[in-house]
Amino acid sequence: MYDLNLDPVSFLDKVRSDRGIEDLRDFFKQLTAKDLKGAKDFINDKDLQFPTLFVLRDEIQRNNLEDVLTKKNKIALLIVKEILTDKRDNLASEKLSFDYVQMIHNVLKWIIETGFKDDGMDDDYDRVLDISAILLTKMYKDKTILNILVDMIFDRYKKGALVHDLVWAFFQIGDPQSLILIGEKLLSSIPEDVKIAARLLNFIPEVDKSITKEKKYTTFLNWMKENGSFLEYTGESFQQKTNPSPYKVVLEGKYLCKNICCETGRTLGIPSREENQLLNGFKKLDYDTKILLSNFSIRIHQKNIYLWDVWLHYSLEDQIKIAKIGGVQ
Amino acid sequence: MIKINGDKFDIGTIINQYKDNSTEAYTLKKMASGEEVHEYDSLDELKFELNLRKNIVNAAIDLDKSNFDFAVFRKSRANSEYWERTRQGGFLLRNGVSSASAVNNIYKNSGKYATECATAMVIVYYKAVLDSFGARLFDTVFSNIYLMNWHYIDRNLGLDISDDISDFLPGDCRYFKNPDVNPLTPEWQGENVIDLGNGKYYGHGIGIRTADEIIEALNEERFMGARRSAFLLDSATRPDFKHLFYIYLKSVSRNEEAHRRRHRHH
Repeated sequence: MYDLNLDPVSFLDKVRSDRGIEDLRDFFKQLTAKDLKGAKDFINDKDLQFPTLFVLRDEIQRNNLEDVLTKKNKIALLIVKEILTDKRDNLASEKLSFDYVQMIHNVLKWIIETGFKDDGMDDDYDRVLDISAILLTKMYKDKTILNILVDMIFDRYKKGALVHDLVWAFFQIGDPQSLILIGEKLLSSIPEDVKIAARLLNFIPEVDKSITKEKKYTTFLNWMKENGSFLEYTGESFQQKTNPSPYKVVLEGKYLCKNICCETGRTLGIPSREENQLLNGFKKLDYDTKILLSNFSIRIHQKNIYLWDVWLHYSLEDQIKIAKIGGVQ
Repeated sequence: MIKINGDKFDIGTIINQYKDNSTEAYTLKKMASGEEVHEYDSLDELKFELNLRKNIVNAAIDLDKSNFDFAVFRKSRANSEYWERTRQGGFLLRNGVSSASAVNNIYKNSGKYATECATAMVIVYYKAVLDSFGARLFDTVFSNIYLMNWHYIDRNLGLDISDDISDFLPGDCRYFKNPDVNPLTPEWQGENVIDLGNGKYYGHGIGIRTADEIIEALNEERFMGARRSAFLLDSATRPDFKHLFYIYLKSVSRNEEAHRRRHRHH
């Protein structure tokens, strides 16, 4: 899916992939000593990938090449510096313009898209990838990198590497539809993938139970179909609990069959006076009855909207009675 | 309200056993006047919980006083004589090492250790249980410890989060959430803290502060232009006091039985 072999490869990337990081550093060191202009041209190759720039950052600094770097490389190194040191004014000191904000976005994407294959290079490199991912999902709400993040998370899990920040970055997008990318892994032929996916989706009832992967997937799809429009983003993370639930079902929305704004947990449409009256009664019910009514409501709504409308106009007591026997007579 | 064997318990019968400003007396009063019903099978069980809560508070205060440092997982440090630092940045108890000695070493050689806030909370809980159980029982019950966030926690510790709590008590672990945290410092996305009673909390990396002070500190770690303040969640993580008491009781009974047998033999 992300086969970079199809993309043109820069000379320095070729050295890195053929001979390794140390040889690349040695080569670049010798080159800067002999031919600084040649070194500058190589590092500014438009097809250069992020890992190469990252590996050569000390050499670039040593040879005062920062000023002659392309804007993309310059910004990328400023981002790296800002992530790996406590200095916070590197980027803020640059000209604040929309173009510049857009440029940072593009560079962050470039870091992830050309950098993910070298995840695990070292702690600093991995931290740069993690923070870039968080910036893209949390600040830029960029969904285009989510599939890469999922692959990185699953690879790290399998290698026993740290996933906390990356998982947090993935969920920070705050879009329930993104769960499908994890859900698809439930059908993977690799048992470890299924285990990881089930763990990340543990907030969906039954998915983390001992059932076949096909059953897990069907359970996931059914749950998404029934609850996907009524999810609120909670922001829970591994820092907070063992099994975080990044989303929770807003039962009030499900009961009224009104879509929920994932960020605020409020209904997208304004409830009518009658709906507000129903909600006031609904909020006073115990949790189990809320579950009963909201499940019944969405199921009958999906099956027969006319019957649903009839049911919703009954009193709360009658709604409960009907839901308990499982249908409108 | 406190109930022992289903009957309402009058704290006046035991409160004199504790100093006025002690954690135990504070906890008893809060339990008795609160909305929750705290149920116990015996007075010993209640006393065990009071003692363990006191030990949790003390373990938190001691950790705050120590040189135990704050670090993200990638930069975490541990004394390699006792712990193996894993690739994830957690601390795994070395084979053949006493878990009691290893937990105590975090306090004794605190300068050799650094980690983030959630792992610090788990360390506090292990240390408190160690102080309640004694080294021998602790070594038997917790022979494999892996310190890594809220993961891999021994089942016998029974740490569990509860959302419907009305009486927050000393020794509870609470969470301050920081929704607008600066992405450059995800470690400040929130702060796990131990409730010390009297409106004070211990959070690793922040120290002992009031709720408002912790919120203020977290707000400093938000991105530029952030609009949402950090806030304290209405949930609490607690060890399984009942289960831990059961383990302790069984051990005490076993020891008494062994003592009686030895006595009879002589």
